[in-house]
Amino acid sequence: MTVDTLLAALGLIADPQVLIVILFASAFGLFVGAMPGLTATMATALLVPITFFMPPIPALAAIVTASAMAIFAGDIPGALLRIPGTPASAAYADEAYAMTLKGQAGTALGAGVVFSAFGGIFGTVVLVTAAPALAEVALAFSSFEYFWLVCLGLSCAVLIAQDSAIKGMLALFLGLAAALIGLENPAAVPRLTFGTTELMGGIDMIQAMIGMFAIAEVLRAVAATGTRLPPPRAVTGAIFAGQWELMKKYPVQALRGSSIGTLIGALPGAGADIAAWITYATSKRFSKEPEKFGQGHVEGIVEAGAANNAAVSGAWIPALVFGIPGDSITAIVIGVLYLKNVIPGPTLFLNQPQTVTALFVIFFLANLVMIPFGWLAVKSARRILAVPREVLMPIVLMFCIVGAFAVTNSPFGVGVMLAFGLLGFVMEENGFPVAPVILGLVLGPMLEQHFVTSMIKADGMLLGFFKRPIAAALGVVTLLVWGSMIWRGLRALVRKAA
Amino acid sequence: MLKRRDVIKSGAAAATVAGLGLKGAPAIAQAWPSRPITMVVPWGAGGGTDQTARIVGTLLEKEFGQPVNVVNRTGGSGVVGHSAIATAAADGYTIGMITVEIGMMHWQGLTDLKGTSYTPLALMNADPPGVQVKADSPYKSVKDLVAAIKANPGKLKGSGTGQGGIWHVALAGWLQAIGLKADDVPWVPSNGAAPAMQDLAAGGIDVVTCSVPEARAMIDAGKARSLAVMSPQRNPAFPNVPTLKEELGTDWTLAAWRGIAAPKGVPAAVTDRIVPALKRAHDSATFKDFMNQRGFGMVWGEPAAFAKHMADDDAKMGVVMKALGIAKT
Amino acid sequence: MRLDDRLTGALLLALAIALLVYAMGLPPMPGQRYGAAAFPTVVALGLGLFSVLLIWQGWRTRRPGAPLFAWAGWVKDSRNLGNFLLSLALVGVYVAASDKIGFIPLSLAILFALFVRQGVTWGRAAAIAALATAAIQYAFASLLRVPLPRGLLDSIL
Repeated sequence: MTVDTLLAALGLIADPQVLIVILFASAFGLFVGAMPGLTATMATALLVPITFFMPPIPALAAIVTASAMAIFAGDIPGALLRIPGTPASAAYADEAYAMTLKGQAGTALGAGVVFSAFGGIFGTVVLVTAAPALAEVALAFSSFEYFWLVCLGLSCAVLIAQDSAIKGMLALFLGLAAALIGLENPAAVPRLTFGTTELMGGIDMIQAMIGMFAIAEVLRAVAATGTRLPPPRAVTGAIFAGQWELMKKYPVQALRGSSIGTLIGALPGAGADIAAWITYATSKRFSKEPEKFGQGHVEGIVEAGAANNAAVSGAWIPALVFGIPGDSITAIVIGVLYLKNVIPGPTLFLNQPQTVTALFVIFFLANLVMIPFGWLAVKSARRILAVPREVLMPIVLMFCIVGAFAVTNSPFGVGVMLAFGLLGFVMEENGFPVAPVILGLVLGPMLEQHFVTSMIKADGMLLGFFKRPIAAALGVVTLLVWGSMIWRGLRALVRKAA
Repeated sequence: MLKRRDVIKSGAAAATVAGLGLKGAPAIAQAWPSRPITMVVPWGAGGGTDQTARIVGTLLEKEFGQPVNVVNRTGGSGVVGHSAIATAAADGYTIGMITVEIGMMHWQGLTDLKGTSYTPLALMNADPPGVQVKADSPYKSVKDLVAAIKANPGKLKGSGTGQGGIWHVALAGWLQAIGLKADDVPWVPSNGAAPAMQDLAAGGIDVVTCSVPEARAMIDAGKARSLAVMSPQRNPAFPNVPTLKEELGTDWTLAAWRGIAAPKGVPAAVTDRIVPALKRAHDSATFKDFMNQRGFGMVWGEPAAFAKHMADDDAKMGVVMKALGIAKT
Repeated sequence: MRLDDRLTGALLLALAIALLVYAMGLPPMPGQRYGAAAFPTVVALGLGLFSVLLIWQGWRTRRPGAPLFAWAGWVKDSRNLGNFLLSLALVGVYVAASDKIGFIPLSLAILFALFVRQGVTWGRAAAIAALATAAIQYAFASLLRVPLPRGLLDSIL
């Protein structure tokens, strides 16, 4: 990148239209991300028809800004109401809500804003400096490598489960079982559909998530109208106070979350949600005080909050270098790029350096404006805690209904939400964590896909899973992690018995 | 969740963004359409079908002065969305983009729906598959590839879509047409063409039969090569890639198509207005630019031609799918 | 509804066995060794294994005299139980009837019913229900183009 291209790029962005688009796209992304059921992907898809009528730079600015904002905004209802706004916030919604109950909503959300921006900027720096090399690595992943990656992701269920590893695993397997429903399996055989067309589509992860988190929460609230719950509206504290201290206290966590997030984002077929799960688990695994996790401890939010935004930037790496989407957002982006005659591929960096540079600058801008916008959003949103529960909860219920409907545009989806809400309610009453169910729903289809296709490719030889170098390394790491988990579990049992 | 005031505030912001281009022309005083039209897409947001539908939707919106809402009804490998189009009210306010799978799903026993379950309106697009291999693979031509398959049946693995999907049929039908067995190249099911192309580049599989636009990113990136295309003519975007007929003398061709259809029994007053509007959309510069940009093939079919096309396609699919052992009927 | 771990484990074990039986009935993938049944079998076995572990754990930590099954405290309060069942029923009604009746009337009715039931005054309940419904309809149907069911108001909207 020469100074000339940088100046030319800045010229493209200094256009008032671009700046106005960034402002509106920020507000739009914040709104969509904060609504359960409306995801960052949906925000992008909704922007597409509008970008038809824009020049390339504002069109890309709208998408970059809206998607980054939406991923952060998912944290807001997660912390305030224990209802993650997007799947990427589900991993640490419980933790953030626990902080709110302790009167630390400001710190939780402030960490969300600051470390989301940190992760996003880190991902952008990687995008600018190492995109071609990283894209090569990402493209070397075949089903064998993905299989091990998914297995590694599954072990998060044990780390996330706070009280009982057995109940965590059972919740995970319930999620995997729910993921069996439908037609979209490698054999294309309808399973557990009971003859209905609607169930052929399977259980949508977002509808299930709204049910397990939001509906279960509404049910808990209406079932406790008489008893005064401990009001979660204690002092919420300043938003940015103490964030610098957090940065100094957890630099490793922030960097580790950002690096893992960028890498996972760059892999086609794994995105911000998986990045958040894995980094929340690594944060707990390597923490000096893992016992505090789940009690309202900010460390995991720092790492996973940085990771999901880093993944959003990381997903652009293969998208720009090869035209291969890194996640569902960039899948849509590539269509827009073609439409705007910005053809992604290795030649893009040679042929249109100003456009690429302008795009990079937009990434930095989007993640920087996240700080003031995030502050405004958090400041106005946390007043929600002052709304009486008897008014708030029915409105939340209505938003959930509409949000679940919007995912598949069918009332059946609202039914799925209701069923999972009831399941989540019963599970919670019996001490089962609900988050692993969502993890199972996310990873189940991927696990089956990569397992079955790998077995076909290897002609049924298990050795095939260790034949390729990256696969072998990932496989060994996975087996070591599992081995250490089983070892700890056994030791705990023996100690209890003694 | 935000407070109501913020909902309205950010709503207003989004409205301004939307206002940049959407709600335009005033409503025309005409019987149909007097309110928004819904266009159902049986596939996910951002894919080729979705993008084509959104372009057509935007153009129809200009034609009619009524919003055309593109609605994705995904899942069940297209079954859910196709059945949503067929079972919608036949008042012309719900139309949909149907795809080649409508002639395939009923053979697998997944649904009773066929092409005849709809009022065909217009065939808009068709993309033939190419035969892609990894850039550094030893097969320089499709003849080399066939020789390798013959020498070692079952060793090379193919992919491109799910089990029994259109590109699976493309590969199997081709193998049969040149006198090989349908499963001489075992099929590795994938979630669509993009993951299959990535797996090809990663060295996980040996051959991908998917449409040329789907393979284009990897070919342009120098990660894959296209050996042949299964169509009567060469693709203008890739003039150096020969047809199967040129290389092997077989007449096997196939294409994944997309068209607009309405539920059965839509009044003639509606079809009389919408078919010419679709024709104008198909011929418009916007549509052409978009399709050429993405490398999608443009085909136009009037309702009658579209119906015949679907019937021919259906019969062809039946033959190959029975040979593959995936047809139930 | 609080179940003893032994009872929960037994129920989940039954689910695992049912899933296993179901998986054995799934057709093979033509020409391939691993088909539709492979993954459900693995899931069923995993679910079964951890169910057995849960039963075992429940057995070791059992307290004499503790019931296998008990209702949670809130169920005994008829007002709370009513609220709970009403919420479920209203969402159920929405699933069944939204296509026919439409979003706006149902949203008004659901919100109003839940507000009043939880002690909000009639006037306030009606006002907030109307405002919230209008806001959702505007934000989702008009701006975000979510095709909320139009139902009875089809000709007016």
